[in-house]
Amino acid sequence: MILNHLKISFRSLWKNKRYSVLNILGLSLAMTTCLLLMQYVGYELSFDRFHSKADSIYRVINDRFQNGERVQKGTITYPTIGPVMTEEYPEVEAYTRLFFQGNMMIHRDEDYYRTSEGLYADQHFFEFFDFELLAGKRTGILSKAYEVVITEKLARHFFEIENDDFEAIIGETIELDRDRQAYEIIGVCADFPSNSLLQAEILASYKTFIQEAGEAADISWSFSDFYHFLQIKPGTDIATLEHKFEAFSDRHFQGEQVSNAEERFYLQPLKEAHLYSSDLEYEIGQTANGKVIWAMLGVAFFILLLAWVNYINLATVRAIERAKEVGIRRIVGAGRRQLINQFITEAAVVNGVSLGVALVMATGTQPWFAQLIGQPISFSQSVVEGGLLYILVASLLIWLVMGIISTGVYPALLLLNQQATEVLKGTYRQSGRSHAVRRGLVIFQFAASIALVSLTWIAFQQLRYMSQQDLGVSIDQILRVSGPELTAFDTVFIDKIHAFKQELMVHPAIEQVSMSGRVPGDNTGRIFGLQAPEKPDQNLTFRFIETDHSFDETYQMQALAGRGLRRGDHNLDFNQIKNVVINEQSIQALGYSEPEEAIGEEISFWNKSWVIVGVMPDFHQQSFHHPIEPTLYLPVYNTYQAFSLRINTADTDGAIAHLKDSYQSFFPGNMLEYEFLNNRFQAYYEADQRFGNILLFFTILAILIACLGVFGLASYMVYLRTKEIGIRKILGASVQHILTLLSKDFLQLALWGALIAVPIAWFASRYWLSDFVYRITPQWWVFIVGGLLASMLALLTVSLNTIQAARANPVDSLRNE
Amino acid sequence: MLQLTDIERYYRNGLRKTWVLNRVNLNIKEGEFVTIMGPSGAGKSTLLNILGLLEAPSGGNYEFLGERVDKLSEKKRSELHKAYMGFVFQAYHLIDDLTVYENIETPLLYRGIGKKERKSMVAEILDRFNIVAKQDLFPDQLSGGQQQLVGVARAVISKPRLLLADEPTGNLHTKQGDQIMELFRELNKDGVTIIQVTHSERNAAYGTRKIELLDGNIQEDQYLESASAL
Repeated sequence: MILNHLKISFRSLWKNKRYSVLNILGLSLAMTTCLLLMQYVGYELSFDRFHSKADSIYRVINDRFQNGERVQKGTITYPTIGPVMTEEYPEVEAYTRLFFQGNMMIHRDEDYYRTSEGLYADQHFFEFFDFELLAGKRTGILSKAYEVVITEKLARHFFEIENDDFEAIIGETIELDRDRQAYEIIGVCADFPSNSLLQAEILASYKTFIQEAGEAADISWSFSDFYHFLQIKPGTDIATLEHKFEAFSDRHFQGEQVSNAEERFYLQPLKEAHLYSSDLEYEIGQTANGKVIWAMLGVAFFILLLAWVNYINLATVRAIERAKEVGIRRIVGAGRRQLINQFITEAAVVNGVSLGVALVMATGTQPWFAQLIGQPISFSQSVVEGGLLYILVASLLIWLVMGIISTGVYPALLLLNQQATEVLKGTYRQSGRSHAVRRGLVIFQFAASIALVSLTWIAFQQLRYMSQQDLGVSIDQILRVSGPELTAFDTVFIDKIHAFKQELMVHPAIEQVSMSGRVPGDNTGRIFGLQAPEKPDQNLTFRFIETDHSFDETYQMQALAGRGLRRGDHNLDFNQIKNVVINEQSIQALGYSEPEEAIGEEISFWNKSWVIVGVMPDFHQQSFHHPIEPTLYLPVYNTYQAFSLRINTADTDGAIAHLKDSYQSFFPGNMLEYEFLNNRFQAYYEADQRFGNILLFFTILAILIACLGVFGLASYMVYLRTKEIGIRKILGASVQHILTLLSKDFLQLALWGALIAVPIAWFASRYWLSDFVYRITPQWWVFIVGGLLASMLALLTVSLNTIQAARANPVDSLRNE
Repeated sequence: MLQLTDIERYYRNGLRKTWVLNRVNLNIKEGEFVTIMGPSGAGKSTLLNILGLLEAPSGGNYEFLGERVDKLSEKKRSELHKAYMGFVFQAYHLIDDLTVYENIETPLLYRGIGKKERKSMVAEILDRFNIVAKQDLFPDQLSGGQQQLVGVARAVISKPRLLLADEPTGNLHTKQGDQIMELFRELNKDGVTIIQVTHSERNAAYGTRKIELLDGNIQEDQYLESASAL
């Protein structure tokens, strides 16, 4: 029986090629999307699950409050947190602490390697995390100063590795930055997997950092640049433990006494760190927006729903044609269940074939999709390594079952409710209810398409708004050049920098040069304990940037009050430095109403007092994801600072050639790296851009699938009304008349769809936009355009069918009857 | 075999009832070959559908093989239909997507008959109806007469005790029609009770009994000389 059903199903598919193609194309497109998306979501969910202790590892989150207001929600905290918590709370079994250096220049003889993933890690690191060690022991590693573990990639860069024998380089040495100290290679680890929150190319021992930065890096309660992971005893109630940390904070920080802020500690499960950290500051890990990830999965499923709706729609319309067959079957003895089985078999065949096609398409488009989302994903990684294989298989089964039931049972029931004898007399009529259901389903499709079009539009508007908005600072012609980090900071350093800048500006295409600790786009550090005369007894939080005296000129800013920094404000002796420039935001924070009021006022931080000499206009130091905060410009130099060159882009090549020559003669042994600042800035919007692209991809798919549905439906409607069209034409109706008649129905449905879609899209866009500090207000006309677009597409699709019918000679259509 | 008492069938049209059958009383014995005749709209097809348990009467008694069937549930009725009856249509009503073989096989599938047995039953009937050569063709590749042969073969493959035929030759040439009628007579001789609806006196002549229906009433009911033939 089942074989017979199968045979008939395949034959029926083959005989009705047009509808089969519409169905299978729609379903397999939707399933492909679902598969790709599941793979992507699987990848995102697989983060950090490969660590065997993943379930018991938590990251310390440190919130800071001043005067009851939160001033920082950070991943960084004090070096004492891990050790002291482990000592004081039995629930905390172990800790590992990290310092993120970021940029590191690694060299061995004349061989240089620049990494942006340099990390200091303590001896517990490899006990906490299962990063594979190719050479070296997991315990006791990184316990002494000047030890490093490097990745396979780095090992192969510096050494000839034969037969994967990494043990051979254990004990070899490399040097870091300008430190002339030899670092001993004590281990080689495999490159960190891409689905790891933490990324590093080199790990130096934490002891080294203590040695270099001083004891504060070990025991300070006010030096907060460290990342801590704790291993919590299984079965511990995290909320209770976090509650206990309040006493810990009171005990060690005494309100704002110790660190100039009230400290609150929370624990973030390692497995959630990747997806739920978008509101945390000073993040060093790879993060993604979990909200967006889940929303994507939702949308993917939604698209599958659209395809099923198509199938149901086409199947119910086709039921009109198949009514006769069902009637005959019933008269020759088919029971209800047998007929339902037959429909289910057909649905199973369609869904099964579609799934097969989808698997092929998904595999084929996988590389392209990986590029679209900008993630190096593969099926094996996200599915097998992520341990999501069973989830995938289960979801595939669920899809099939759901698809088969929804697409098989409804049309069958529809047909079985008819009187067999009526059907055979040719008086088969579908009930008003099934008609209403069909209209409802089409409205649903229109609504989905319109909502997606509007949302995509708004998303792209927001992206354009952010990337084209005036930052308040001119970055278009700025070339960022790496600082002379291997050059010693000695008594002639400042003079040398000055001479270098003069030398650069000899070239006519180099208009201005500045050196600063941060360039626009970089995250900046904070000062928590700033005291100001107008806000006595309060700790204030300010951002700060160390700059030379040409920063304002290079970035073309004019002081609002007072003056910019001058050469004389600098001093090799930090204690002699006195003058500071603030930005406009700071005025209010300091308790003034006009920039002029701040000039000459004395503020204090870092245990000394400073005088405000100027107020600079605000600009967006970071991308439009971040608000502008009160900021100080400090006349402080160091070797890690970068140069900003304002270039006349008419002769960029000449300017760069001159830069290379001068750099070589002033800072021999340093590696010159440069890039245009606007390129760097665009990178901050990459994640948003990707989100936009994925949304666009979904929208196109949803519209495509909806069009397939409308196309199929329209062609059947036309088929059913062939006789009516013929009669109308004989009575004198024009082609245009017929077109209007046939399109009117669909337009009505599109209108209903728009009515449902607009409020949903409006709320969804507000929700998405609320994540942005600077955002657009959704414009009403976007929704109108979305609705119009969907209607136009529907009309176009319908007319593909109707034009033919409307043009046909009516005599032919009537003869058919 | 079957007994109709005061069978009524009407359709409600707003407050008005339109009568199709009006107090029909009829008794048909096993082995009869009954022809129902009458002008269009006389209620012939409705009567046939009621007899075939495809439609329920609005009123009256219907006893089939000594059991009251007019009040049975749809499921029960279709079971009886499946067990005892075969149906032949004017428009053949073959399934377009199935071959001749498969069309004939379909009733057996729904009766849960095993593959081997199905095969021999279909082979036997193909042979008997002389359409072995056509078994792999689709309905649209056959002439009307051939299609109706398949239709009859499908109706009798499950060995029904009652064969109901609604104008079985209405779409056929005389010669094709005669062929079908000859077949009916043979089946009747083998013991199958046949009730057919027709307009044609020529076809009626093959039967053993002729009933005239007019406006939902039996006008005339006469037994014919057996095998009066041509």
